[in-house]
Amino acid sequence: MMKPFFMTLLGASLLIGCTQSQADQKDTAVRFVAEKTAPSGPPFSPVVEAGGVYYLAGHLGRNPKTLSYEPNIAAQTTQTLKNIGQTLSSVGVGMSDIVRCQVFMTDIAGFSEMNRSYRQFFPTNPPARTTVEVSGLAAPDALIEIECTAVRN
Amino acid sequence: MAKTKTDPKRMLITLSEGEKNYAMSRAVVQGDWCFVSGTVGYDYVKGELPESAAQQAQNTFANIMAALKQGGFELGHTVRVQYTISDRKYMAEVMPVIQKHFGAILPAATMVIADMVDEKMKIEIEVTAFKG
Repeated sequence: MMKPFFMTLLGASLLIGCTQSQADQKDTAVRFVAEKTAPSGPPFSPVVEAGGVYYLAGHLGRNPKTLSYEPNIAAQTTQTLKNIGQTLSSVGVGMSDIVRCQVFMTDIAGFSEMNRSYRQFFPTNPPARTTVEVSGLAAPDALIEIECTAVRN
Repeated sequence: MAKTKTDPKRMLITLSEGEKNYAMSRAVVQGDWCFVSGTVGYDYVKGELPESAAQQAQNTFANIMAALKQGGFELGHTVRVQYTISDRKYMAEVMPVIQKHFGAILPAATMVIADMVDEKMKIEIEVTAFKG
């Protein structure tokens, strides 16, 4: 994979929340963390930080070493969450900072297997989660896609 | 546009009266944030949904931009997007439209393929925007 680069698109000045009793800072920064992709490739960033909230693109279970998709739902779930962890670590955020996940599966029959793998990544305080079955994912070999939102704890 | 009774800072954005039938707003603005509902490719002026997936995508972006504008936002504020398309075969048609609108914005994106509530709908796009 290519090295991520950082691009600040909007003004990153911080405003002080003067009207609030607490002297907290209002986080108004927006940061797009983008991989260099071909101009014709899908236009997205793996993660966008906005106002202290980290929005992740949907992640898939492709092994970054073999560049192929893991063969079953258990392994793809594990690889997907490892890939999410990798993206989060690039912005200094951890798995325990994830507050919400949306799980898309091409076959809901794999729900229990998905959960067994998923649980390993969230042994305590698992995030809010929605799981839906879809008829396909953008990558034909993908069995699962997970989109999540994180807020630094 | 109407404000809720409970929170005068919240702005509810409507593009079509039909949205009320589904107990939804086209978008909700709260502070620096704008949450746009899943939006499809109706042409609200002509009152029709075009056949072409590419034209549906084009209209969908126009509708999203109209909703964002009502709330004081623009497409460049988008930080997250979710695309749902009804069939993989439409990807080639809609990608140039997506590229045209988001090629320089690069929001965090997710794309899935799933059935729509109306089989004539070929693409639905949901965005979250932040002004910062």
